[in-house]
Amino acid sequence: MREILKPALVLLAICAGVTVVLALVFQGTKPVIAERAAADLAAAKSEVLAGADAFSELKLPEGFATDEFLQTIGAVYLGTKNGLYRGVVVRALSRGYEAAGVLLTIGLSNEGVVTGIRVGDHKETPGLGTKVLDKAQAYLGQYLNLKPATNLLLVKNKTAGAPSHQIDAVTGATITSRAVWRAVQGALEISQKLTPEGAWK
Amino acid sequence: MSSQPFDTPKAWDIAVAGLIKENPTLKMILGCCPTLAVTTAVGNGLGMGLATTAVLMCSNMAISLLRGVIPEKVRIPSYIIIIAGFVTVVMYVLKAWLPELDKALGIYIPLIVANCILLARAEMFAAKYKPFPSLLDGLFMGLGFTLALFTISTVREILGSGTWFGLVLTKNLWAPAVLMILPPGGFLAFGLVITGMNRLTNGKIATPMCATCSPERCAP
Repeated sequence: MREILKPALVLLAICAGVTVVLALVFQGTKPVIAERAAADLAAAKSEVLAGADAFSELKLPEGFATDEFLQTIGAVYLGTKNGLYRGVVVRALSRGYEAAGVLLTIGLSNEGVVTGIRVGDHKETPGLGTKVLDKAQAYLGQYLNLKPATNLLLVKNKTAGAPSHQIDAVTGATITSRAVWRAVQGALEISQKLTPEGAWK
Repeated sequence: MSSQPFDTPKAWDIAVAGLIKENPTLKMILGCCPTLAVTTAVGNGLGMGLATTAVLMCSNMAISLLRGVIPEKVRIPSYIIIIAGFVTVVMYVLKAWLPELDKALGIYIPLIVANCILLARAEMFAAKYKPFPSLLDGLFMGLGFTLALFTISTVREILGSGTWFGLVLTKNLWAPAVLMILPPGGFLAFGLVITGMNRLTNGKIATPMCATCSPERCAP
């Protein structure tokens, strides 16, 4: 009896000890992490839409997410400078290779031009998915200053001289490439639904 | 396991065992999952290696301190809970106070829990020896893992992307073999580096018994 009880009790004690430590660490770090996330969002907004200095959240109408692109959109912020509407910042969470998704902050000017993309938290495969999300690599740059006349199209091995709305997917990371493409297309659709003054059409 | 059943190995032996003789990746073939997954670029390999080293040192130390308390029958679940607890604490602390490090290493941290090197060192070393040698064992086994990842990722990055640490090396010499950074290339590079390691060390462990385990347990 003792031989069964003792290991069970020790294991229980270890589990309880680890649980208490984790609970304390979680409680202790929660406000700091929340504060950091808020600061990160503020920094992301002014990075992707440098032309604006004040942001306000736009309430999205019920059932706006009618396609797979708009379904990635989490929040939309209107950017203004001196009270004038300058563009929109879109926060998107797009399903990539991992279920956690890729958090993206996308800026679009009031003329619908992509002004910046910032990659937030993600769990994509190091070396493959991360190649898509790395600023130093070519993939994200394809979207900058883009104002496509038609929907963005994701292609493999884009030929030289192909129109700019064709986005070249990264070899070995098609699923992460698609995640970014879906979010940017969603952001473009949001900006098309806004009037030049920044109101929902 | 409360007493000290074996002679504590010397620091030098621990270092040589961790880096070469019992290199966890290249000799023990442990921790293959992270080895194959993150060695696509040198920066990734190094990051994963160093993050694992830090957690391995902490977990070895904690398990060594608790070695008199943990009953033999439930040692494996106890080790796993302690290791997972450490990894989670490290994850939260990095997120809260070291966001830059979290950005660089964040994606590797959850992978550490699944790394069997931690469990292997807990079982083979920390459960038997005092905290300080266990800490050293964690350090050198971690560095051995880092060294292996560094070598494998060097091979893969140079052949697969034509770069090293992101620096372009082979721009006009040959077209990079993308295969090398895809999963099959991981196995190829892993095999090549193991072959090289065995060749360098003549394919055998230098002493009749392993440096860190007892003769009774490790019969030739």
